[in-house]
Amino acid sequence: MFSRILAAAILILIPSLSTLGNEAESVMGGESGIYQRLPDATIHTTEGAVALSTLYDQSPLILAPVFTRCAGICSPFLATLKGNLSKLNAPADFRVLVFSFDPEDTPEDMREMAQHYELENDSQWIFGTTDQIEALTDALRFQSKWNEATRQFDHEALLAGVNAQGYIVLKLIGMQSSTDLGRLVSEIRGGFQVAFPLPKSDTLFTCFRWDPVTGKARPSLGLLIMAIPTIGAGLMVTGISAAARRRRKRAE
Amino acid sequence: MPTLAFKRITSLWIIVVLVLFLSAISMGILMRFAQGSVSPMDPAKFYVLMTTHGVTMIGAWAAASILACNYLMARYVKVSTGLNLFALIGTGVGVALLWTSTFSGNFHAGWTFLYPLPFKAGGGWQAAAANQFLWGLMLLSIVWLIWCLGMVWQILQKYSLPQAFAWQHLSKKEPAVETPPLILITMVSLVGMIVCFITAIILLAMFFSESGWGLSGKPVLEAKLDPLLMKNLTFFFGHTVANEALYLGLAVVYELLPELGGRPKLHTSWYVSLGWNCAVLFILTAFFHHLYMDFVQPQGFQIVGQVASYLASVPSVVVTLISLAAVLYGRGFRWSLPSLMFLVGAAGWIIGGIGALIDATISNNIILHNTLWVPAHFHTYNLMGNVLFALGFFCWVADDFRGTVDPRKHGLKLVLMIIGGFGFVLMFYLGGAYSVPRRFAFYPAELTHAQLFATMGAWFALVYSLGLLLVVLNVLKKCFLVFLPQRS
Ligand code: HEM
Repeated sequence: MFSRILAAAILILIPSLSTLGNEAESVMGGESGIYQRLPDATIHTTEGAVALSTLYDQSPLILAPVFTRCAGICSPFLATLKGNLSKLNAPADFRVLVFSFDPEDTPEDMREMAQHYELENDSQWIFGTTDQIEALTDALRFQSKWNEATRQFDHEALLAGVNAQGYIVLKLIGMQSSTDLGRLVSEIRGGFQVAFPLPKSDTLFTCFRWDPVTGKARPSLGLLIMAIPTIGAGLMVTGISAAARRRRKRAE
Repeated sequence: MPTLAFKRITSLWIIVVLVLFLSAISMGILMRFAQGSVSPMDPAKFYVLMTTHGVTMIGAWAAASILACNYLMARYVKVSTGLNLFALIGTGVGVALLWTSTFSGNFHAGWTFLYPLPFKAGGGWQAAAANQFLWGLMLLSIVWLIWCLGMVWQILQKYSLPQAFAWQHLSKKEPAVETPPLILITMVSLVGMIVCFITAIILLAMFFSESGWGLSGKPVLEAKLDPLLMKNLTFFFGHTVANEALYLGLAVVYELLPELGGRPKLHTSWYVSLGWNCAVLFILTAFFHHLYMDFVQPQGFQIVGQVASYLASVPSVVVTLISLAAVLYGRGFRWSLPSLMFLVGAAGWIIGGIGALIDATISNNIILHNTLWVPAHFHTYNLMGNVLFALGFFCWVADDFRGTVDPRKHGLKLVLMIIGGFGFVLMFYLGGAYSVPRRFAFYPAELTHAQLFATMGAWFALVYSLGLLLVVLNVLKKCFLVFLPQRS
């Protein structure tokens, strides 16, 4: 009976264990898609079409996916972004590309949006649409879901920093303070950032070794440390049991 | 049967636990009033209280459950007064180290002391205070490891290893040797506790490898630690110790509830044996649910965390509910304060457990993580679960010391504790539902209702404390009487 239940439990656990190693695909939010290259999507503005690669070749970019019908975060998000960017006083050698992820938006809608924030004549800002919404949002790992009841997208407020080579170097999710924005701007301009450090060679017992080239993690010695307490307890209790058995035998 | 010396040491332990409990509750109430802006507090002071409160509560009630099981084990096996005295002295020194590190040294990295926070004081405390805190925990872990190993030794003097785990009940209806539920649940939980304390010792030794063994802060190795490994070890220890303490509390309920109600003893059946063996197995992997937000943790572990959280709770809950229903079914159950506490405690344990499962479900955790939902569920199964199991035992044992029975139900005291306790945790749940973050020393106005919930929570906690105080005074009086010369 016991062995049957145990076998069932193991069967349940094994499929989940087998997903070990696929974690590069599953990392969440701000970390997913980092160091991936953006697809060369075409951006349409009221002034014409331009390839994304042309934009980031000229200067680093901050990408902000929005949609014009948004009754939620998009509006305060853009207003905060505009306010915080002006507070930063950073050299204007980067650009902000506000693109729509809603297929119903047109370049004209995006121009109106720019007007609303008085940004239509600011050369640092580009407002546009793209035919390759899916390719672009997939590369950014941007999370959005259409909600039929509210006729709105449930989506995150994302800012993605893209360096002059077209790689996503940092993502910020949610409304951002000017400090975080400063970090993003500095990162896309090639400045040094304190980031999430990878374990180095002087790190004692890491759980995993992550290879940034393949994006795969291999189990490492630290995992063995996790097993020591259980093995140790097993050995201690068996040792005590053996000693107690000898004692019982002697007493008999 | 327990000797007089054993009763005296148990009584001393109870006094220590209750004094620690009352002090830690006062800290809790002060914190909640501060969060409600009724009596604002310097954030550094708040975190000193939070750290001391957390570590004291977890430690005191883990010790209380070990103690209660050890006292009841004397019915079946030979127990040791010396071992309990050793544990008490070690605990006293450990608590002194912890409290001075927080109150004098200002250490306030939370009871989970997540790496590298103890070393990143930002001027908030000295390296020496951090090391003293870690040494306090190291001492407690070593002493309690010895305590638990000693109790396993006591059990295995009479029962073989498979008998202690009640494996003979899996295949036979009436085996030659019967393992009482108390021995089975104590044994499986002690093994879990042993795993926890070994984990804690490894974890703390790793801390010392970076900070040095002494108070000077000179590193032992020129190496850095892996925060992911340290977090896994921290919760392997922290989550498991809190759960094993609860299981030990349930062992007491299995043993005493039928007896208090005038019912025949509970026996170990195949499903009791199976349920408890499985529970201990699964609880050891459920802690992964504390790392859902750690993006570097592989997805496989996150899934194990969710599956194990479900699997760990089902066997113990189902088996316990069936057993409790069997005891309570029918007329004529004799209710008393301890048995009522056990019943309310079981309800608190299950309600808190449901809260925990909601949070341990990955899709919910994305919303509830680090909100007040977390203290809500663990306060429910601790304050209204494990504490009531142990308090019920304290009430019973205080009479048992003198061989008397208190037939009164003390209804008012319990009603105060129920209203106060569940009201207090409800305010945490509401906070969680409104996404109020945990561990905030004060709540900005943007956090709608947070201050109101905090203030109401504090008042409810005061009501709980009033009922508790009445119970505690009665227990303490009886505990002190054990030290008077006894009639032969
Ligand atoms: C009426 C009694 C109690 C009161 C008033 C109280 C109050 C509090 C408060 C206000 C917090 C901080 C919550 C936050 O994160 O904002 C807290 C945290 C905590 N409490 Fe309690 N509590 C009580 C009982 C208990 C009990 C019985 C236990 C365990 C057996 C316990 C264990 C903890 C732990 C582990 C923490 C977390 C500390 C940390 O985050 O480092 N408490 N409590």
